[in-house]
Amino acid sequence: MELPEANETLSRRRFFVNGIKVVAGLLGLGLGIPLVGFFIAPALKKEQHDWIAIADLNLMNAGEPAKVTYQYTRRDGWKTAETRKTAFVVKHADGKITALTNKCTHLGCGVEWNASSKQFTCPCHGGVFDIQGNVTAGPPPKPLTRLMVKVEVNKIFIKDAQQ
Amino acid sequence: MSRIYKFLDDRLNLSPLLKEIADHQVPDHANPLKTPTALIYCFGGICLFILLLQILTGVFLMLYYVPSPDNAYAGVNYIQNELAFGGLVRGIHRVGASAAVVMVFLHMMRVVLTGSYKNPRELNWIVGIVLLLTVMGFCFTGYLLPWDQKAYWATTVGVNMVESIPLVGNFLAAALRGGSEVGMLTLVRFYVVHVMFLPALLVIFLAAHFFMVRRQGISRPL
Amino acid sequence: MMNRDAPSATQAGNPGSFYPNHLFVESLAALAVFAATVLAAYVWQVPLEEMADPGDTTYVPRPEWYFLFYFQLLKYFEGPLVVVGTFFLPLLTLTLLILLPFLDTSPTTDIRKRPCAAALSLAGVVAVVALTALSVVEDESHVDKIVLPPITEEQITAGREIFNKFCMLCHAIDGKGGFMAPDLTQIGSRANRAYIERVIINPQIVSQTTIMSVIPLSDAERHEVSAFLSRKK
Repeated sequence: MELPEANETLSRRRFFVNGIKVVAGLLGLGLGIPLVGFFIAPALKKEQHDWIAIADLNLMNAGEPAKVTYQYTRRDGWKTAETRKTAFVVKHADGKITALTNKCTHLGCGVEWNASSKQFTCPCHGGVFDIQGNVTAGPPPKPLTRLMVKVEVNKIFIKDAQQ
Repeated sequence: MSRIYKFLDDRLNLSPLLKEIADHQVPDHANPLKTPTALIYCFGGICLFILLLQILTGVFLMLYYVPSPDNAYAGVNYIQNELAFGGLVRGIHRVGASAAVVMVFLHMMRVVLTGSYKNPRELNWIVGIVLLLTVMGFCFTGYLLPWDQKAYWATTVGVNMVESIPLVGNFLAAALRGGSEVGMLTLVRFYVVHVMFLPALLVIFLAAHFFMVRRQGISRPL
Repeated sequence: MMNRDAPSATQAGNPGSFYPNHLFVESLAALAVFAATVLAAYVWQVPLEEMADPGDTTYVPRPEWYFLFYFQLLKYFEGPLVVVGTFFLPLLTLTLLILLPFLDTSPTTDIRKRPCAAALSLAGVVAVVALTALSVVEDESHVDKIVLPPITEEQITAGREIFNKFCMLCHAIDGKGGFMAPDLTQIGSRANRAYIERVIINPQIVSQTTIMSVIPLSDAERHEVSAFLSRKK
């Protein structure tokens, strides 16, 4: 049962080739897992959001969105960064309160309230949203993003997080 | 895999290139499979591996490093204490620096022991010396980057040594520091030297080192 | 003259071929080095000290261990000889290294037949190892070396009591205490903990003419005071 010499050489060769593959795989895993984890680590951190008082309920008119600018501090790596954003707070006819970001869901331009047509319009590509934030015309694929809202003692609070 | 390789080989004719790189014989006296003591001939390969490890971990560390006095310290602290795998990646880079020094030294000792620097390999020996100095340059510049007490004062002492050189010492030290004291400019220039100048030098001289090894072959005992 | 090893496709797979046989051995060596590096990174945790403080000139720096031999060597060159250690000796070593192939020109590579090269390189290795060892030994006995335990709430409380007992006669803190010495209410924002420790051990480092006396505190007590003071910001 002696193998011909050529075959033996070939099987030895296969052993070494497979050995290199195994070692390369181990090195790849041993380095790849920490390095990829290290790269994506900040994305896995939960951002903390606080409630921000932005408007007085008594001063709101139903059906008239109020444009508010709010500021909050965000942890940016090892620093804290002040971030400013704009939202529309809406008091509906039934007394319900919603807060919409002013960011068009198409490509992120700032939408404006058009008081005469009672719609939000986007200046970039002609997206149109109704007072609920739903798309009525143009390219936007989704309604305007609703932020978390609460009302306490006639003060309206929002949180910079999707409802 | 083999189909991708065939696709590329058909168009770029890679086979002769790969043959040139990988398909050659290792003499018995340098082959651990035949002579166990020939493991000392692996030191050079280990040096290459460690340098690649350093480049890889170094590039990833740059993701969270900003070379300014406040940010450098805070960034390294962030890496060390807040990021997943941060301590490990930084640890590998730092231990890797020690490992590089040890292995480069051992590699050099092997070359001395086997007299491999002799004719016709004098040039490659000198390239090796340049590589040794490059590695030490990496160690010296890298030591400042965390901007902690040890980094700051060790660098201050190191640069002050340059001052004692006759005639040009003071000027050289000021040029190294970018001023009369170790400060922001020192940090930025050490950083740039650490991540741009020295790696460029390393790649060029490593290429020369390997080119000569392949051209001249592994030295034989005479 | 060139003893280049002829590449030959037919030899691939022989015990002597670079790929895959020799590369496998090299890759195993690489894996071993990687495992050892990761292990060492865990065991030998990388310390990040306090942030650089260019004003704290009492800090005694140590280079990384592989530069210790040189650090030790520099201690032996004093006064006008300093430049020998910092410049001429490294220059001489480098020149010798570069010229080595042109000085050792005998055709033999056998280390036993090259006594000069062997002796010189052996002397070099012994010198480096010995100097490193000497530096480590001298460092161990160095009085300036202070290892600070991490700050705990208990330490701060205990430190406040010791401060009230010994230091408040002269130093004021938060509006209470003596006026013979500087107010320490915000000392933590001006000085780091290691510096506070060194001042307690040797008040003269602040000023040669200070009237502050050395307070007989144990190491643990001193750590408590420094913990308390370094938090006063």
